[in-house]
Amino acid sequence: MIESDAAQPGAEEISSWFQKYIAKVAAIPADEVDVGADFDSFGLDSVQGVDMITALEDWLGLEDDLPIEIIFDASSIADAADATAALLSERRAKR
Amino acid sequence: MSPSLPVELGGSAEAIRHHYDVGNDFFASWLDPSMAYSCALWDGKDDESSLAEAQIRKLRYHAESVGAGPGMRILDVGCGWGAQMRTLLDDYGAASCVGLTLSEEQAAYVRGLGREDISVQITNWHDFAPEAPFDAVVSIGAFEHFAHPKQSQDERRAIYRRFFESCLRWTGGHGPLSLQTIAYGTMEAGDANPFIADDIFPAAELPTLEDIVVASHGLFRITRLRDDGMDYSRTCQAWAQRLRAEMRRADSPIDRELGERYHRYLRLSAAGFAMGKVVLLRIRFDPIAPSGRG
Repeated sequence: MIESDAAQPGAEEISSWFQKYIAKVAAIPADEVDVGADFDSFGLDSVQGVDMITALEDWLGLEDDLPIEIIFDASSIADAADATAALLSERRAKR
Repeated sequence: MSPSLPVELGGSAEAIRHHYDVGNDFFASWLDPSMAYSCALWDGKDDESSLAEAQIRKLRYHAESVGAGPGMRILDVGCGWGAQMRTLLDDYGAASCVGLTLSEEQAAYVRGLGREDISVQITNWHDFAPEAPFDAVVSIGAFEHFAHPKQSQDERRAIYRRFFESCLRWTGGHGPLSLQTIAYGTMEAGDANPFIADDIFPAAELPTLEDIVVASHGLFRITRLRDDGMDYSRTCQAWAQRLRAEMRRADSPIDRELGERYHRYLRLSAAGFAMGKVVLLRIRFDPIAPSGRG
């Protein structure tokens, strides 16, 4: 009855994916990436933002792109991760 | 560091070709079948029309904007792959269309349609001198290319004014103009988050709505104005999605680097429109009769 979410990462896993990705781009240790901080604070520009969301979609194995505002409008990494997870479960529910 | 984006606006033939002459097959793989490479028109956000349907609605919107009808002779400044001209001729009974483009590949494509009622010229509108007057002018997605980033506001407005004067001249002072262009939204507002950045449309010197109002003053009345930025966000998202799906196909002929560059650019554009950094204007201009001028 309850649909298994095993294949679909939740907000926490997405947040940790963002941490690792930003750590790599910004060349800092992952544990120094504060999920309460916004993307801007790591010096990411919009091109890097687009590349990040494209990489996230690849990691999630999504056929449909995520709306890019999910990161551009986010107040923090955690906020973007929550929004992404919410959108994914919304999409699942529609199927 | 930002990679160089495919758009270098500035009105030069070189800049136009840089963007548009990367192969008609490339564009055909992610544009809709009409090959309309400009903002589509949806009937609000709940309208679930496909990209192709929304492009047709856009083409019809501009046709109706200039009152297209049987026997008319219509000029399309920046005709792309000819979708607007075909709509004017096939759906509204216009007699003939002339299309201007600076892209050799677009011109070749339009000529390849083999239509006697369409004439395409690789000519900058500055140099265009028609043999006979037109009944109306449409221009979709060309105005963005008219001005150069190094020009002052006065210089840019002078160019725009020259365009409006030319439209009047080309129609003997009587023809309406339907214009669709990207314009600055909040992008100049100085409070831009560096994350969303200055590198959305880096080399673009877009008009502002004020530029357009000032440049057309006394020549045309603005009789209809829409800001459909959200439609352009949706259009860019649809293109990005289609391009990515095409690139995922195992036998896709798309050059990886080119595909990724455009995909990134389309998604940046989608964001720029969604956030109102840039807007999409559709404007109908009616000529001010010569006697009423001055």
